[in-house]
This record gives sequence, C-alpha cells and structure tokens, in this order.
Amino acid sequence: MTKYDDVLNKYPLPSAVKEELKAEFERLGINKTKARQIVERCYQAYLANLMEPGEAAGIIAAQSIGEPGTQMTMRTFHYAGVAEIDVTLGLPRLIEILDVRKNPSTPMMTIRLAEDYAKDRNKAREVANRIEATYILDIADVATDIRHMQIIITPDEKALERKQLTVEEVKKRIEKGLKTEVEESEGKLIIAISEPSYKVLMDTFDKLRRLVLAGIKEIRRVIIRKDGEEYVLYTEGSNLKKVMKVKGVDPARTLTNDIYEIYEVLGIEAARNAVIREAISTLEEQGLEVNVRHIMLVADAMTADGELKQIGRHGVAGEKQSILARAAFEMTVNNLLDAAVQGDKDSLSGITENIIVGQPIKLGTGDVELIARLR
Amino acid sequence: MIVTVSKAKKAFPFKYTRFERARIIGARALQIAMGAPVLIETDKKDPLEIAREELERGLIPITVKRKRDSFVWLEHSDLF
Repeated sequence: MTKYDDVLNKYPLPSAVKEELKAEFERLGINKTKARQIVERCYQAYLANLMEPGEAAGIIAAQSIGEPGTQMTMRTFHYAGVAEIDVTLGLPRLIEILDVRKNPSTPMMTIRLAEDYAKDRNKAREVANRIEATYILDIADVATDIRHMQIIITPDEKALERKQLTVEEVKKRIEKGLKTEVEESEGKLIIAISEPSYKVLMDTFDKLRRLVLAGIKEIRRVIIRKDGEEYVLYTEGSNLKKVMKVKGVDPARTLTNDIYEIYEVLGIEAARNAVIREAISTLEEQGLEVNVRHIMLVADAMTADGELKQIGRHGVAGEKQSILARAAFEMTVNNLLDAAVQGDKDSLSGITENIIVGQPIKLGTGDVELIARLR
Repeated sequence: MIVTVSKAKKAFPFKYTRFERARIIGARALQIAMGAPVLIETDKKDPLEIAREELERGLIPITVKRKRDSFVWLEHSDLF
C-alpha cells in the first residue's frame, strides 16, 4: 500500500509491531532509508527479546495466567453490557473456555450485516426476523376447545407485522410442522383433532407451542444495536452454521462465543483464535492484564494435534504419555492401578516424572550437555 | 508461513544461552574449587569469579553439545 510496506515486509516482526511502526512512520513522514534503519534496530531489539532455548515457557505462562486469576471474582457475574444480554464472565467463563464445554452456559453471537443491509434499520430488522426463533405464542393467542376437539389460533395483527409474517405463511408452516390440516375462518386458524382423545389434543397443543415458525431454533432472542455507522445484531443463543447462511448476514464478520462450534464449523485455526480472543477478553473485562503470548501458548497446547482438547483430565493433561505425570495431576490411584495392570513402562523423559523420582530435569541449566573443548 | 526444512536447519550463530553460560561457569568453578590449575593471571580468590573471568576471555576448555532442533535459528531470509 504505502512505501513503508515493502520495507516492513522484509522483516519477520509481529504484525502488531509492524502496524505501530507504520503508523509512526506515517505520522513523521520519514524517508525510506531512515525507515529501514529504524526497522533494522527494532528487529535487533526483537531478536534480543526472544526466549532462549531451555526456558520454562509453559510454567511462566501458567503462573502469568494463574496469578491474576486469583484476583478474579468467583461469583458468576452476569452483566447488562452489550444490549441487556446476560453473559457469563470472570472465573466461571475462563474455566468454561479452558474446559472446552460443548454447551457454554450463555451462548451469544455478534452478527454483522452485509453491506446493503447494515445501514438500514428496517433491513436489519428483516435479517433479525430471519434469525430469531418465533413461536406461535409470540404472534397469536392459542386456545383449546375441548367440546369441539379443536385448537383455535387467533393471530395478533401487530405481532405478525413486526415479525413480517402473514397468516397464510403461519398456516403453511403449522401444516408442515404438525402434519395436520389447518382451516382458516374469519382470520382464525383452527386445527381439528380427528380422534376424540383429550391426550391427543394436549399433545398437539404442546407440539404446536414448541414449533418454530420462523428463524433458527437455538437463537432465543435478537437485539439490534447501532455500532458506529452500522446496525449490529446481538443474539442470545448461538448457531454459527445456520446464521452464516442467512441472507443479509456477513459471514466473515460474524462471531460466536461458543468455541466448540467455531471448531466444528470453521476448523482448528479459527478455534485457536477463538480461544485466544475469548480468554483475553474475559481477563481484560476483569481488569487483568495478561500478555497474549501466554494465552497463545495455552491455545497452541489445546489445538496442536488438530483437534480441540481441553486442559485437564480428558485433554492435554490426561493424554500425557508418562504415567507418573498423569498420576501427579488427577486420579492418582486409578492411573497407577491401570498402568500396573497393563504393565506399562515410564520412560522418565518429561519434567514431572523426573521431579517425582528426584532426578535433574531437562530444563534450563539441566538441559545443557557439556563436552570438553580440545585444542 | 511455510519454511522449508532444509533452509530452516541453519546453524545457530554460536552464542551461549544464559543457561549454557551458567552451566559452563558452574562446571569450571567446581574444577577450580577442587584444585584444577587456573588458566588466567588473576587476584581473585572466589572460584566462581575466576571461572567467570575465564569464560569472558574464552579460555574455558568446555563447550556444549547441541543436539536438538530447538537451536535452529530462523534468519529473516528464511521467512520471506
């Protein structure tokens, strides 16, 4: 783009550093030679700050996340931040992220709209209606008539208009969903039950109540908010796969806080980014500053095998090859007993095992092998 | 970023990491403390201090064996 880009592109600096440099160059209007010298100096400083081989990177990461973690409030903190949607925050949320829960307690999506929908409130409303799950009780009164064995649905004109539905559409949807005939008379919809059975009537009523007339089942609520120039949809509940396909949604800028869903829909790299983003934002929300690099290491450990693994018994810690390392973490007796029954061997190649048996560990100074330098 | 293996396996410019330095100084100080001949002229009495000065002047007859890929250093020409 600018003349500084080809200078910066020659150096493998982190993109954040590059951006900062570029902004500063542009502000000062420096020439190319000067810029190159500055970048070179930055690169030298960057190299000097890289971690040395042998450093206990994992332990430093664990401590750097753990210490601020102790400051976190334990209680589940619900807050009305963006658009009155409850979000699990603080320690419970952090635990949720690291445990890779398949169903987070408060799934939430931030949906940004395609260009021609984003600026217009009515069009945004249109998209919201396509996403939000609409049930019969949202748009009509439903009564059961036991004497004539029928269910009478009285649609609410205003609610229908707001949801951009017609009686005709509702009728079709019910017919398809319940596989029954629906009669229309005087603006009312009537479902007649053929069998004279009270149970069938109540079952049909229940089914009708749970039938999704429009939208996506998992999305319980949609809130439209103006964010700067454009309208953004915030949802309670999450279904990334379906929402991305909805007309008017910009799939590239649509987010969910359900990490496992991101992993299933977009793959492992997206999941890694999601873990980093969610963990950092949870910590930042609590006013705790943790360097991204520590979180990145954790995210890498969780995703390195190509599948999203939790930190803990059923994931990273539970899949360690050493018996002693696993026994040191959780379920000591089970691990040792299983290993004994199977006649497993421990090669004592890791850190934990060697600490347990009281040997020097392969880390830092312990990882250096000395040889004589003969002249 | 894709780095070809052959290109990436460039030797690390030989500079000791702080762990290697500590280990070498430690080993040498132990030798001196147990009576090994000192290789420099110095007034220092502490074996650790002597070992440190010896390392500074590059006289310690000890070096490290690096066997793993962890010492691969990526030059920026490898990355772009």
